[in-house]
Amino acid sequence: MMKRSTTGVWMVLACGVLAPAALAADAYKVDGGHSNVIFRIKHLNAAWFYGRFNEISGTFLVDDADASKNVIDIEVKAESVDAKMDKLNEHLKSADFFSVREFPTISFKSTAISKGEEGKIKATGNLTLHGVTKEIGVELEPTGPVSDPRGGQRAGFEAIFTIKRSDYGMNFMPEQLGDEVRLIVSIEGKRGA
Amino acid sequence: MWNMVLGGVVLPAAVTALILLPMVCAPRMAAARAVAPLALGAGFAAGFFGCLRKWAAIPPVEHWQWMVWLALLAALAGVVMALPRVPSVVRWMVGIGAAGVFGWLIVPGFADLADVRGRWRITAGVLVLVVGLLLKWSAERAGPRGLTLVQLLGAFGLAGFLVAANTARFGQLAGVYAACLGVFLLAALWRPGLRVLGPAGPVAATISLSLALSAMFYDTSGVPQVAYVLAGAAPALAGIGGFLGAIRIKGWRGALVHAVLVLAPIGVAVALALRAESSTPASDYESYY
Repeated sequence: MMKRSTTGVWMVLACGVLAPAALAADAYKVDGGHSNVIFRIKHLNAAWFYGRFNEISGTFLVDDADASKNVIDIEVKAESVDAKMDKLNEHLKSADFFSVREFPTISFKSTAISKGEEGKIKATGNLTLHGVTKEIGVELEPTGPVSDPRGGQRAGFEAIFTIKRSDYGMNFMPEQLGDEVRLIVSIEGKRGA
Repeated sequence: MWNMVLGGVVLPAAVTALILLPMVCAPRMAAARAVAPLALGAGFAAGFFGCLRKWAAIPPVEHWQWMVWLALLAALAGVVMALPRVPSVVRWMVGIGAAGVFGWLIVPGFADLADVRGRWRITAGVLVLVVGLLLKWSAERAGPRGLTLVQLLGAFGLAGFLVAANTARFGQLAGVYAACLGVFLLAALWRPGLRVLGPAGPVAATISLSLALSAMFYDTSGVPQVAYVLAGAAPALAGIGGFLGAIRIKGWRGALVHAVLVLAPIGVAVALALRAESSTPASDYESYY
């Protein structure tokens, strides 16, 4: 097992649109099965409701030596939204909320990455949701890297941040659902094989 | 809740009433007829703003929001078509032009529509033209109060269908449309001889079909397309009102027969939406709202 970086692992998630040269050998491909994107929203001002997205993809890169390579790029299929109830899932996919036929993907593409405090990473990037792109800053808590028992290497990170859905044009049912949405993003990726 | 009522009912009704006032106050002035399409278009636009709490850009981020611009375009076309001394050929050109723009803009650019986009554009354009013409034809023959009441019931039916089809936003906007038509009904009751809805026919057709077709293109619930077309084109059965008027079945008796016939396709649409919903696996939860 490899020793975990204490200075903050420089991780990059880069999806398939990145130039292959930039991904090179250090690239981590997101393991969608072991990655999670969970959202939390206030329901009827009574309690927190949680939902998730089941299809997550991308690639990331860990590179302490060359910070210029560091990029974060995640893609989530909006259609994979899962809020436990089939009827609610359909409603969330409709034009009332995620409008998945028009906006099939939710993405985050970093524009700048720097080392944060206590081994964390600060990433600034463009979050595209519901057809609206806005720059946000997130703090990542790196995990790994470790050797995969089945070969290769695995690493990941977790980011918890809050957005306002109205900033992204998702303002339906403002009195029943809160405006602030907390996102818990935990990504695991694998490189080599 | 109150914000929704204020933005989606009171605001559009107030705007409609304000603009419709000259027509009601000066019923014999031919030019005053031209405010009817403007009243319906502007009332719907005000309700659109009241519900969404934002205006739609050009082009809008969400394609369906073209509907508010299409309603305003139809209102302008309706004004030209309702003005006295406008040559018939100009009226036809304006009507066909507005229908063409409707067909072009109402169909979104989704990748999976690539093969059928052209066909839908033509279908939508023809539908809005036919429904608008039938409304106009009916308005000249049927009793104005009965016709307006029937269209109001149709708007409520459309709202119910859209909610059943899991598109509450469009259902809410159909409620805005109903609020505007409610003012038209009050005007028709106040001035019994005034054919208040006729000049607004193109706008009514545009709003009704905008809502139904947008909901169809954005559908994720598996409701059959025919249900959306039936619900959106139901006002076309206003033509039946014209027929009933032509064969002298007028008044509330004619309105009743007319209402049943207009609501029948919406009833079929609702049944199809509910059938699609029942095919969704049952949930352990009574309601997710």
